[in-house]
Amino acid sequence: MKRLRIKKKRKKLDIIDYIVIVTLSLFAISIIIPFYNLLMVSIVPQKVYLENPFIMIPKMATLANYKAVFSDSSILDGYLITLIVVLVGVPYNLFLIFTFGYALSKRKFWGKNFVLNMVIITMFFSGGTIPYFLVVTSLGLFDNILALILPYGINTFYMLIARNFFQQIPKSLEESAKIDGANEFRILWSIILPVSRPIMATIFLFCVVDRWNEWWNGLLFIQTKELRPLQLILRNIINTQNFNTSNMPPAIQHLVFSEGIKAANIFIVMLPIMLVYPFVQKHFIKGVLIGSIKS
Amino acid sequence: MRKSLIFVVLSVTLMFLVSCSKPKLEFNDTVTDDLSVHIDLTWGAFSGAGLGSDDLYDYISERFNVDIKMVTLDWNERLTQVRTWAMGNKLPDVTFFEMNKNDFMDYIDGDVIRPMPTITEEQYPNLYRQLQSMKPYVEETFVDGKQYAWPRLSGQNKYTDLNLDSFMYVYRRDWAEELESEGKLTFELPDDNTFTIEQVKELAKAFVDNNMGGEDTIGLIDQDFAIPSIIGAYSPNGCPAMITYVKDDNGDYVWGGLLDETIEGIKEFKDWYDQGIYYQEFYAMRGYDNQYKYYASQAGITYDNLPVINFHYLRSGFAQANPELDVYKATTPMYVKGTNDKFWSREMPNYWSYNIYNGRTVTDEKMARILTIQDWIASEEGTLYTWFGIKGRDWEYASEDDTEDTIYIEEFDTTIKLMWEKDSNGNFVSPNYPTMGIRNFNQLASDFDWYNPSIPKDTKEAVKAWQELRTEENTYIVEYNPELTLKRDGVNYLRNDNFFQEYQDKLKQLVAEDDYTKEDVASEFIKAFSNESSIGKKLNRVLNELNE
Repeated sequence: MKRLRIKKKRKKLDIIDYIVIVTLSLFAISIIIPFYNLLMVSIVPQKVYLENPFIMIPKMATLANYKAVFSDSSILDGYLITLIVVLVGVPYNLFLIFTFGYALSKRKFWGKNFVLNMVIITMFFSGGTIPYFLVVTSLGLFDNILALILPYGINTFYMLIARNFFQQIPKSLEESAKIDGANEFRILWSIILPVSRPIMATIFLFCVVDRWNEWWNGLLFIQTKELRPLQLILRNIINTQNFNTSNMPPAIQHLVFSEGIKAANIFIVMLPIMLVYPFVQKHFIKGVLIGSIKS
Repeated sequence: MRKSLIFVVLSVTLMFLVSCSKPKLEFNDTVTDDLSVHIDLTWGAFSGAGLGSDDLYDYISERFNVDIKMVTLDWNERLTQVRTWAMGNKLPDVTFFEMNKNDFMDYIDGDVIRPMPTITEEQYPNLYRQLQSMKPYVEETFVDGKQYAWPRLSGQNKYTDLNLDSFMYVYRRDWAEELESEGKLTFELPDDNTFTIEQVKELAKAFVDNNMGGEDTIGLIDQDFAIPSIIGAYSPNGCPAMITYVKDDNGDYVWGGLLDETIEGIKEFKDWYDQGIYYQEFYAMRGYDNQYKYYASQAGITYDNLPVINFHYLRSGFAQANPELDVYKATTPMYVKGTNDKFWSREMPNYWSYNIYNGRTVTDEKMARILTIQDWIASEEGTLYTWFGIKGRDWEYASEDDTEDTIYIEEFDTTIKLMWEKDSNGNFVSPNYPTMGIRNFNQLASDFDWYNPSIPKDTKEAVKAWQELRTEENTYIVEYNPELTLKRDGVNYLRNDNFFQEYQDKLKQLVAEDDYTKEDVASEFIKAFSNESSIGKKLNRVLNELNE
């Protein structure tokens, strides 16, 4: 029997399509170019940078700036701390966000509106830096790595997105699980979360980025240098105008310069997030709007 | 229900009152330091990164029976950090502080910081000597006869009794000589590098017109903070970097930005810009862009804050980027006189920033130890250790037979022999002691710059010459006015300060406008700070406060 081949008719591109393609391409280029330029600045010596800070194809390349970065152990210490904060903090965030969001997705329970309103108020108002500082230190978290993890428990915006998504899940799924004797945690774990992969991936990525970029709590609560998160160390490096090269290996001292070291630091800090994103991109695109639109 | 509510309100009020009524802390001035007792200290500052990881730290730690833990502050958020920690009683034992009278008094009232014991010549001779030399207004750190903050002495103005800023012009003498030899200047280049502002303008224009740095040659580029420097030639009190309030003939304060001579300076600045002499994208500058343009041999003249170390960085950066050029010719200091035939400068305190001491954690014994260490740092021995390293390993007192690698230390009338390693070019290589930053525990480390073997003698001599050149007779000095700096009750003043940012932002906006003439710029600037504008209203509130 002959196999039926169905030829897909190629859509003919019209002028509007071309305009859209060109516009989006320019937009994409405008986003990519700063990253590319940053990479270029990090791998050229000062003389090349000074001729023209906007570098497309470098005349010379060197890894001296990266060697200078890694000659200082503080960036590696920062990596370790931030990694711990991400590995512990993200599951902590997800647990709180999804349990809280699931609870608030229930139709009725006593005090639901009050709790919801209290949560929404925190999106617009806060107590200020000093009260926040006093609350966290009163819990004994000052100069403790837990100060980077525990205070940032729930992002209310993400929680509301999750809640909206859970509300769209057919109630019949929950009801049939209840009939089988499942409790709320079992329903959440076995029924709700498996069908919520898009939103989980989205919120997971948001939480990872938030944790990775964490520096404010480090600034307020951390005094021990070994506990400083990566972004705080990066801030200190970027704020430094002139680097003391005497502590760097002699072979690279004449090649490094301030802007190059800063660019190398920024690139090293950005790299992990750029590597993670492609793996969650599929879910991210699906999930980014799902939770915010009510069907 | 009502009774419960009343009970709750009363309880909360009582708790609040009880928590507010803490007894004032008492301190004992007469405690002497006992070095047999080990002390742990925390120090919040910018310098000292890496403290604790070298032999110099081991020496200090053993000598003073102390462990010092460094708490690094974030430069941009230092005020937030210090304030937040102060409010939460989490300040390090010794913390960097920039004087804000309101905060200072609040900290004192709340026992957040503690007073120092009286610094006597018998007990702390080196600190006493430093305190006597601090000017112009160290009394600001005293409240009710007790000193609550230690000012950190700068060694920057070593060769003058005047405490002036270090801003200086630097120019491409090599370019200037080339133009002079081609007959393209109407004046003879001065051997002493002293120029009038008109000569600077002509020289900068000649750089641009003759493309000395290529097509995009810049005549003059200022450091971002000092934009635009040339207004100082017309009106030092109205120059953005020195903007202040001055008293008019009636004895009332007026804002320097609206003086007649300042408006003349602004018009002149517009003329520089329109003629292409001034950096055309100055409004987009950040930080040290001026230095990068200078390194790239695009700029002929730059203006920057150049104490010894900064001038050294400028020259080193230039030499690294242009190894084929004569760095001394290409970075020659330029001494510029204003329209009144005087140099212009601002009086600065000879100290900057302070140490404050935690009122809750710094006991009398700990305070005694802190001052012992501070006094040692200010002493001859401590100075030599924090400058050069460990005695017997990195330096030694010179004997009469020593003729090479010796350095005479003027402050202590002593000569040492430096035993640092040398590189292949015979230049000294500083030993790797991050703990040398501990000098900032007591004072700024800028005094070492004058002796730093890594800084060429010519660079030190250039900065020294600039200091010695300026006298009270030949320099218009914008005086330091403690009344303005220490205003505590002036809410509007503290909130708005001297309008430096508004001033600079408005100039950037107006001068870059191609359609505006000099007169347009002047009238728009005056309008922007007049009574009818929002900024003008704020300015008036500040002036009313100052003139109360």
